[in-house]
Amino acid sequence: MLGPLESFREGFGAALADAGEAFSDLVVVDADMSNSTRTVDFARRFPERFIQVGISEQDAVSTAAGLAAAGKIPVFASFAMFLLRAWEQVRNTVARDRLNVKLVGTHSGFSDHLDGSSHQCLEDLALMRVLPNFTVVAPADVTSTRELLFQAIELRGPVYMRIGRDNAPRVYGRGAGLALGRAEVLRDGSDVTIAACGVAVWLALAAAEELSRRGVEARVLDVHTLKPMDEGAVLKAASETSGIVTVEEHSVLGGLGGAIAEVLAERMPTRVIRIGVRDAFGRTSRDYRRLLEIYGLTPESVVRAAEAVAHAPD
Amino acid sequence: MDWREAGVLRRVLLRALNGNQALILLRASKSLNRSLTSLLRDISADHGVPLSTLKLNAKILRELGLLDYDRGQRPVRLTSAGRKVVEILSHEGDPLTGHVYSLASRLGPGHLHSSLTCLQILKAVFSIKRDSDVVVLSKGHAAPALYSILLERGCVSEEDLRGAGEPDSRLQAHPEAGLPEVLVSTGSLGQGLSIANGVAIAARIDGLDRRVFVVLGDGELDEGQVWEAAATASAHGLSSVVAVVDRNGTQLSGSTEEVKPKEPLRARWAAFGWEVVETSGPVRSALEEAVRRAESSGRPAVVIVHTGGESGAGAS
Repeated sequence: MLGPLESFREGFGAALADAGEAFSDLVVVDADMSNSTRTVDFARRFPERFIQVGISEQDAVSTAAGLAAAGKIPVFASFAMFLLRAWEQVRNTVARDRLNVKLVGTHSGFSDHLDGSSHQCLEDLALMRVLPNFTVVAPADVTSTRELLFQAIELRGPVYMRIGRDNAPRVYGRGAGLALGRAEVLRDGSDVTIAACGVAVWLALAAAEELSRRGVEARVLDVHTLKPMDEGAVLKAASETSGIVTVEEHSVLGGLGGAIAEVLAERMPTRVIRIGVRDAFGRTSRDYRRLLEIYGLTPESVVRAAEAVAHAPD
Repeated sequence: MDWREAGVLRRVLLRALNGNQALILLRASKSLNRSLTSLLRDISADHGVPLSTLKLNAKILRELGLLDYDRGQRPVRLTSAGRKVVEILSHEGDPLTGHVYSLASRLGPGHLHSSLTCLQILKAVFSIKRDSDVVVLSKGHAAPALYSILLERGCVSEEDLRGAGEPDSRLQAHPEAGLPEVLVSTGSLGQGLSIANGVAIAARIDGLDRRVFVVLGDGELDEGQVWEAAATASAHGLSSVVAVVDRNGTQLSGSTEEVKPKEPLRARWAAFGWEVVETSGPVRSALEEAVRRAESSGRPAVVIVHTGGESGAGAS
């Protein structure tokens, strides 16, 4: 059901190395994670533009800020969870000065399943979305990671990109034609909308197929850019379908579900059901999919929520 | 009275007097035959402090026996004790000191001492800074000192200073990027050295001859990130980075050695692979020495400036 699996970090590492070719000002800062984040591909091709600061995320973020202030385009990639250790540095320098720093949180959600709750990250979207000046992106697969990474580098200003470790089900073919800030309609439908980001997009698509078999046509939105939110696409979906189910491998507080609920509550009160982690931490599991089941991130739970929305009396 | 002795006494005095009181004393020392009201009106206009606040503080100064005036025509004047206090407060005789007092009273009186001890450091740094060089004020709460120097350099106006601390002012409580000579906003401690490293690495990649001066507080050295960055700078041989520590011996809760000891400070920096220069005298020559040693050794250099009269182990 997952379809062909690719690896987020392999895709990111390869794309970043190619970006190094395209952007001569691109530099990469590492806090001893380059083997895990795969920025090692870039390091091998451009050793003079690869800056190792050791296991010190706060130093890494502020160093990146200095590099950006001096005209470089620094990328700092680390486990999403440990990058957040430097949230205050991100907030006070990168965000406040609107510096051209690109932060990439890898191993997000449950993707680092074996390392357990200390390494899994279910809070990053909420914490980065609240920062002024930031663009926040959660690509669904390897193809969109590459396309959105290039666009993030071209964008002048701070960006947070969230990817998983491996387990990236393919959603897009080659050349998806994505645009930062524009939600992608992956499937049209008028009964209910399923809005998802990151790896949860495949869950939304799988649920939509099952719903279709049951006679419910779901519109599927890939809201890869959480900030700035494509409010037009959200409002259109709210007005043309009976309600919205949001799906994310993240806390339901403050992430995609929160963002969409904020838009709708003010501008078009609409039934919303948020699928995600309900105010909890993760667990160690030798099987990634087992964790998704435990926390209710399955096509079945999305189907149930979508049916509840689609069949709700007006 | 030497520099360090004056530093101790000034610190003691500033625990007793607030910034507005110090300002009134400094201005009274320079005025001849002025009535109190006319003096306070001038101060109010120049520094944007409400007249009523100044009147209250003048009254306190009179009660303390530092200022003498009455409601009649007799001019306001300092008592002999008042003159001694002024001598200590403005020991360096720096004309910028008055601006530091007034800015600190507008931006946060708690940072007055730190701004005063930082003033001579920043003056020295700016005196050797070349156009291509960058200064990062990691101890952003010394903004009053920085803004006074920006005034002297013609980067901001007296009018800017009078409006400091207002929402529409570019002189915020802590320096913000966009001001001349301010490349990156600061205010949260412990981050400036990392930022300076980033600027220095970028310059190295681009082949630029650029020195990066970063001014740190001694209390700030409690932040772990400073030592992350100290290790990064030496690991990368960033000899263009020159750190200056304002060793005034004071942090928010009291003496630095009581709150959390910083000594042996020279040995700490040396252990991280830095060239270390210490001074309790003129800062400029110490900075030049640091630059020379950094260039010849290929290592980053730090100047520890004893500004506050702490015992300063190893300050020889």
